[in-house]
Amino acid sequence: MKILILNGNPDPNNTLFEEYLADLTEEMHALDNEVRQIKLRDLNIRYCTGCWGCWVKTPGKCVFPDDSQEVCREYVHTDFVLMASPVKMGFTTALLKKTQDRLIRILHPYVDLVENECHHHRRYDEYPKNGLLLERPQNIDDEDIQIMKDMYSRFSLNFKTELTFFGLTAQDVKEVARAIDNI
Amino acid sequence: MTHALLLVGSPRGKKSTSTSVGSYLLNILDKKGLETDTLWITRQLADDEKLSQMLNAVDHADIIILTAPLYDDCQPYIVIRTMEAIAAQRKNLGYKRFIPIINCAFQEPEHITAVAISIYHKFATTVGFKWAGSLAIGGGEMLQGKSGKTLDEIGKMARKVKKVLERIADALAADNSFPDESVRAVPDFLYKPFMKKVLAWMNKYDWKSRAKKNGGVVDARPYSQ
Ligand SMILES: Cc1cc2nc3c(=O)[nH]c(=O)nc-3n(C[C@H](O)[C@H](O)[C@H](O)COP(=O)(O)O)c2cc1C
Repeated sequence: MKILILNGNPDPNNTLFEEYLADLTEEMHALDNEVRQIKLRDLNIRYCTGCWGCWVKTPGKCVFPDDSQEVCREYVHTDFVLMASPVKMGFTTALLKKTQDRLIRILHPYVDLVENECHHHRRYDEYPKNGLLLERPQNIDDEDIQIMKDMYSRFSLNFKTELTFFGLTAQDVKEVARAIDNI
Repeated sequence: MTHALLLVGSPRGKKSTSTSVGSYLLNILDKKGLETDTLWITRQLADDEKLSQMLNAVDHADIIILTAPLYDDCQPYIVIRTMEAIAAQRKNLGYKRFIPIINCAFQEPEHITAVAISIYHKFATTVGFKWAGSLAIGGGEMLQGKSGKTLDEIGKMARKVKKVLERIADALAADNSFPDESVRAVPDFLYKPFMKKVLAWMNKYDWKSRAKKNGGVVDARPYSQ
């Protein structure tokens, strides 16, 4: 399976998180997966300005050609995307959200009705399954975790897929790698 | 004097539905004798000085009204960045009332109430704001903020939203909270399943011709190879 890890950790000094992802990458390689990790903090990605240029000016592409192009290209050629983030103030990081907002171009502006609710039409035939891996600080509770799961389930619904994995970096890395491999 | 601060969280900046909705509410509060101020988050994130200016403004306000669009069923990046900055200050924000007013493109405000309102609520309780109510607006693009129009300028289409905002202004000016509310900008007859299909079809035609006008093909797949 082709796996893309979007590392949303803004702080290179958070070595525990970085080491966990490095170990996870190694374990998933060992299980015969092709894994690529993108450290979002190393990329030049500006925020989405909601101009709809990616739908009407350069359909499918953003009018600002920055490193988000690489993320979008990888995203549509992957079987599974693991969004990995420390939890800041009860939520995944702004860095990860900045990238997620820029994914809008891989959807089509047309609207489909899903159970009488509007959602965007697919631009590509297939979209990767999604997973969420969090580093949980001590001061957050199960309600925060549930909100994030709900939010990423909605994100996945918008992006024509499902949230098929949820994990915490407190879990054994081999166990997490096996769970992802079984998806 | 009670001081209300409007933070506009649209990445579009001034020409946005978040601006038109927020300004309408703030104008009423102003007429009711509150002291009012508006800051656009896009500008305040430009550098550290402007960011601390925004955090100071939050410190000095009694009521913080945040207007923002919905991006992927939650906050756009610039709003999360602002929430992180407010939380990082770790000031005592206990007496301040916080009101998120969120708009989304799709007709159903349920896209907003599904999770985004809970995230705002959690944020408010984490930093110590007092939750004073929220408003979810479905069909926000119908309000034409992107073209820089005010709610008064667009006539009937803004009627339902204006009514709710007026009620919210009354509650805030009387030092009250209001319940979490939702409103659909689109007229009720357009909300029927059949009419939704008609709208979706018309919307297709619009996107397709706009892309074509710019020399593009609306369903291009640039990342296929
Ligand atoms: C990256 C991105 C993601 C969006 N996600 C959603 C969404 O999940 N649901 C929705 O109804 N509208 C979505 N929208 C549309 C905006 O919420 C809508 O255009 C809104 O009216 C913009 O308000 P503003 O003018 O205040 O920025 C999205 C727009 C962008 C650019």
